[in-house]
Amino acid sequence: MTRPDGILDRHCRSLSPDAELDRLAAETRARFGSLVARDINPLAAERDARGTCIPQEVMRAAGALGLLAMAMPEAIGGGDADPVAWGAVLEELGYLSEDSSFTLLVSLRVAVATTILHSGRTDFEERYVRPMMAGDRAGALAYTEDADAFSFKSVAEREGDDFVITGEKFLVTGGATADTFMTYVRDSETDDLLVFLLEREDTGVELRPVEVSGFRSAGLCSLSLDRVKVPASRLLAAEDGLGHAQRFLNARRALLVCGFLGRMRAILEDCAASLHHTVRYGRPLTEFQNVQSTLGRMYINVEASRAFVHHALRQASRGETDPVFDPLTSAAKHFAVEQAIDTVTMALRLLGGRGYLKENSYERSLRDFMGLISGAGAQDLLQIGLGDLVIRKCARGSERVEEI
Amino acid sequence: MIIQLPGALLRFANYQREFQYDSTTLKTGLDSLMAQNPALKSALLDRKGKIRSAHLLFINGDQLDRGSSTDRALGAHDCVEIVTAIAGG
Repeated sequence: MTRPDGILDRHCRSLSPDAELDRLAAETRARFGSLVARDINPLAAERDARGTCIPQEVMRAAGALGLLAMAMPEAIGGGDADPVAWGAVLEELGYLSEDSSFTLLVSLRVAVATTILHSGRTDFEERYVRPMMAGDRAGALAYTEDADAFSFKSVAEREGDDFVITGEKFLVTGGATADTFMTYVRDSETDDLLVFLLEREDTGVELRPVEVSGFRSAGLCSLSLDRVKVPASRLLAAEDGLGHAQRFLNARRALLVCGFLGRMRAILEDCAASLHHTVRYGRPLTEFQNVQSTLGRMYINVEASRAFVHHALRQASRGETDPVFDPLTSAAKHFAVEQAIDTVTMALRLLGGRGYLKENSYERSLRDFMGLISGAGAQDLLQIGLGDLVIRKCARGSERVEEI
Repeated sequence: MIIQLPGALLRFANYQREFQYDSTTLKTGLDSLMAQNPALKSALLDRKGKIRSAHLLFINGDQLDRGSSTDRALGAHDCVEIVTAIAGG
């Protein structure tokens, strides 16, 4: 489907007081638009059908253009983009890219590199972070098990100066093309969670593709660890891996949905353009008030989500975000995911059978959006955390209610 | 004092949500809680004996800063609530 590029973007630019976001969006289009048009969009449907991951060569090309370094510190050659600026870049990438997995992988690779850099280890910076910024290495999070975090089975046992790691991580996003895995395993002696940097070449590491509904070109894999022997020097966190993981996920939550913001905007534009060119009873469908109403509702979803996520990112840029579980960040992620699902569902309702065709990407976007029902903090778990905080704060000073 | 556990920690305390102790400080109250429920210890505390960063403590509705001292004196009617917000990847 073709659409006049940037209908809403032009509209928003005229309304928005935030010229800096517009400048970043324009810069993103100028620097990375050709890459997306050449290496991402033409094969998006085919990769989705086959479940093949976006090749690392494409990520390397993105690295060569500076994309993977934009949010890294200037001191190591990065662009020093703060969360607001980085979010604006990801949002525009989401708008340009018909494959949501691309934006997901970009944000994931950068988040892992940032977390490794925060360890302060210069050897890690040389071996992992700088190559990741160039797209020569790719990092993934190996956290999720088929159990809650207090019941992880993957375990590390000390053997002299080394550790021997055995276990299974059943869902590793980006695993298919990753070579470095930030891996959370239980310490057999203390029961604490430790974090190791495991490498694809380590003996005993095995990756298997996992069939998933959405994000099918994001290379989701399971990671099997069969007595993987690693030196203690590969410990990224020697204690409280649980807090380490929560800090990683929390910081990532609002940035993760920025790609969805752009994709929602593209879906709205595509949908409106398609309906405008469809004539029923002698009139374009966009002249029917029920269609106008639904498009209006979709616009509200897009702009409300943008406002909420930008609000959370501005808080992060000011350094005011709670590092472990920030209510505003978590609520923004939750809200944007629900609105994205709602928005593309409305497009499917408006477009009828045409919207359901594979050749249009609406159903693919729906499957991708649904991936974040459970990803980066399941929606229902976020609700529980948020509700619990509300109760603690609002019940303050109130009398206990006696059972009647 | 009264100590209330979040849903995520109930299984470490035989699914009992609320505990009452005659302790006079937060620390001794938490010690009593873990003496009664040994499985809670590794879930609630790190290796240095500090509250893990994944848990937030509220005392009578006021949030305690992470890393705060647990030597704080508490009375019989004070209520300690633990909030655990843990998400998957």
